Amino acid sequence: MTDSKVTADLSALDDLALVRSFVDGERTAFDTIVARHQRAVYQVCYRFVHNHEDAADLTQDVFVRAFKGLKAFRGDAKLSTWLHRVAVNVCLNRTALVRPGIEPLDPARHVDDRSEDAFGMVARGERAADVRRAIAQLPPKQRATVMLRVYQELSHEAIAEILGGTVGAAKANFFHALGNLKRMLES
Amino acid sequence: MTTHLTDDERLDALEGTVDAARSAHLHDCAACRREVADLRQVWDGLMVDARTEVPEPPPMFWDQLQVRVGSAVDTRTAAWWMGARGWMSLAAAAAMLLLVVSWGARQRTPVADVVVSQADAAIETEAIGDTAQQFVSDVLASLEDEAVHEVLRPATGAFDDALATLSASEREAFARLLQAELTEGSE
Repeated sequence: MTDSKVTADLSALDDLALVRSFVDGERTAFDTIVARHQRAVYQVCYRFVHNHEDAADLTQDVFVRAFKGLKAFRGDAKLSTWLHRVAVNVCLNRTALVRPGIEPLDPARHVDDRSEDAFGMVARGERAADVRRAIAQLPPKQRATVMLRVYQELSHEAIAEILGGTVGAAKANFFHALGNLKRMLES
Repeated sequence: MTTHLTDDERLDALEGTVDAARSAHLHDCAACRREVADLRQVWDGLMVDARTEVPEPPPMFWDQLQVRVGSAVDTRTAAWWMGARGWMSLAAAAAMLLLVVSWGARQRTPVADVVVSQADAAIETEAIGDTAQQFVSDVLASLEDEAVHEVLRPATGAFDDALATLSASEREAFARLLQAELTEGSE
């Protein structure tokens, strides 16, 4: 069987089948997992550090950890949820050591609001940067909860599954995070 | 008058999932409306940042990521094996040392037709064992660390070959000596 045929066959598999194939020794199955989830993982990482270089390093680290830990993946949760969990843990560990270096925002390029004038876009960009700086000051679990709820638009149930704990705890974390952000943004 | 909304319910109100009864309270209670409005202000600020898209990484990034992950996995696996191999070499060296010491003691143990008391035999064996141990220590001390590894690394099947040359009774005696050495070492 040719490599391209193997790759094509693997691409047709669902995540659980890919994991089983990888655990059975088919290393190229892991390449398919990386290709399938790299964008989502990169976006989670980028939201934590707000610059490409660090996000790229973190994304690599997430998949290296996944490579080592995938044998323990039992399939109780979706692979994407499991990778989210790995990504959040990697990001929290890294950003606990180094506060993120936030890239200057280019609102004209990144803000999706086509009817706003230039002044409004700059003001909006500054406000977004303030919000990011405030988020960076949150305790790790609150920061992760905000990232997953607001930026990844995950439900409280999904967040509880990723961060470990109850739905009530996830909601309480988010509530306290909003309260802390309010105080920080007002000051 | 009903009780004010709990933190959990305020969050539900913010997210539009609060039940009808509590929604009615919210409609009538200015304090709760103010609390929810404060949360909404923070939420809106978060959404300003959330609407900024994650910038697309350089075009080659996605292709390079798989290679980077693969290299990182291989490098870390190789490092692990180097460490493990070092420990295995040490274990093999220790086993070889034990073999040499035990074998030396066995070779010089008085033959059966010489009548020696058990106490004397023990003293003699110990003395000869010390001599053999000293000899091995002297040789090892004269070698560099890497050379020690090379010298003490047994060839594949060396132990099996050596054991194959022994008679049944010699193997039993060898096993007893090893057992005695191991027992002594663990005390």
